[in-house]
Amino acid sequence: MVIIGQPNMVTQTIDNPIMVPDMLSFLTYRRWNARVHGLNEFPETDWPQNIPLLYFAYHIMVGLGTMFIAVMAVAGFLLWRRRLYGSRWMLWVLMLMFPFPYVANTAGWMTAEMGRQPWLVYGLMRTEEGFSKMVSAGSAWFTFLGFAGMYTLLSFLFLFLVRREIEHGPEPMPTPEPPKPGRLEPMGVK
Amino acid sequence: MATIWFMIVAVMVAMYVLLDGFDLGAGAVHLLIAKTDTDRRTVLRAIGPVWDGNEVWLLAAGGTLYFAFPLLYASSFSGFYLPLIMVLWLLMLRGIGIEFRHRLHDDLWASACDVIFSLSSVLLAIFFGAALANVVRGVPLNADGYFFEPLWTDFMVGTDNGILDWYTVTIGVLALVTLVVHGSLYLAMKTEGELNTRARRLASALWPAQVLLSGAGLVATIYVRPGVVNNFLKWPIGFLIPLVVVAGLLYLFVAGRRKNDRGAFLASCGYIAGMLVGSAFALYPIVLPATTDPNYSLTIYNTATGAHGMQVGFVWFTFGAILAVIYFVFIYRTFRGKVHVEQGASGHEY
Repeated sequence: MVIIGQPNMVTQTIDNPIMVPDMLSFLTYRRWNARVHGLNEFPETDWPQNIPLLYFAYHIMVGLGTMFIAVMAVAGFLLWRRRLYGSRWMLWVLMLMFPFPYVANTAGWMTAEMGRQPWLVYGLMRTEEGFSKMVSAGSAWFTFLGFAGMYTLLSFLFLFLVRREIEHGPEPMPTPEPPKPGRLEPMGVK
Repeated sequence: MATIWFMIVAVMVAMYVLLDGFDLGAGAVHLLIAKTDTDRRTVLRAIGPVWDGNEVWLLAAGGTLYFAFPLLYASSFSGFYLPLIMVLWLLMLRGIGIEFRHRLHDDLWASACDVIFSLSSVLLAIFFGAALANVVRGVPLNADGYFFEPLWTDFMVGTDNGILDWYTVTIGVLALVTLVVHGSLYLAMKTEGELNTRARRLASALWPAQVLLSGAGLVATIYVRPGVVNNFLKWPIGFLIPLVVVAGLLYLFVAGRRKNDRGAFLASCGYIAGMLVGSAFALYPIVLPATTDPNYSLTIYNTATGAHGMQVGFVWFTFGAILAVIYFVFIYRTFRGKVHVEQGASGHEY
């Protein structure tokens, strides 16, 4: 399995691959020596259009997801050991992580929608058979721009409200009390 | 089986109009009868816990249409592409107006949200009326079962119809008046004091307009599509439906006089349900009539999904419907009674 590399569409290989041998076979088929079918075994007419973009979208999604699992495992461990709120470095990591779920979500969505191309229903219906013939390109542009505009406004509103919430800050720590045994302290955030 | 699914879709649309109808009506009169900030927060709190649940009936009706009559779904969602997207935008704006108002404690922001909420509610009411009128009047379907309709042409009912013509606009206005009355009565039922009085007074004042427009709508419908009377003549039991409509209108008047808000609201429900069921009954088995050639009309038979799918779907639909009913009974019981808003600044509630 290639952890990361740069897809080269001319040679149809991955440039500068960082490899873990046999891993993909195991992840896909639960056997270390199973044969995974490559894209080159499918007819080129059934390929998604933009393979490099798809490649990176998928790897960003999976890479970030793996990172989240690792960070959460460490943070969970620290919480369990009651050292989370005292570990400045971990709190820094958690704070800096906050934009990445949005990135991972978007990348995952791109993976799903680009990766399914050229099929609407796999093996049954292609995208070019599914679009509305009665909707003109002008109409599509009009509504696309309308949505883009509305979502841009909403994004600004969202960022503004989130900023306010962050500036508001966490509630002051309650007066220190000896932690009750066998119970996790709730986070002091409203 | 196709007939059962036709009834299910009709009932779901009727549920949507009955439930989200009062949210839209409340939105339409928001600026008119809720004067102070406390009044406006009261209106929002009256519909706050239920409006988004009510809206789901529209999505569910659309989903059911997609499942049971896929060809109708494909044809109408392509043909009505632009107006449907506009409805979507309006629904988004309404949600923003309701849910973002209390995020900032600022008078200008609150006013902006009130205007967005109110304006999108008014337009949605008119659009939904016009949408129903389009389905009754028919659209220029071609032999493949598809059509395109511009938003407007010359506002005449003829061969080159627009989405908006004199007939659909009339029904749009009827829908607006009906939902304004419906929403006012809901607010009257949920509020006290001046707001309650103003809401009831508005509903009573609009009664003559509602009667007049209902009559005009009926005449116009028979003029535009004379075929609507056929089903009533074929199955005379259908005449019970206009009876419900008339009874609803009469009781609306009586209950308004007696200041019986709950009775008046139920009368309005009866009236709306009667109007919608009547439309569905008149159309059956056609689901989208063709203005081009009657043979191109979409019916429940030429648009229905496979027989096996319909049967399996019916079983699952039953489970889903039971869950939805439980949810709605629960939420309306939880938030029954009059709403109160404490004076002055509040926290994160409406």
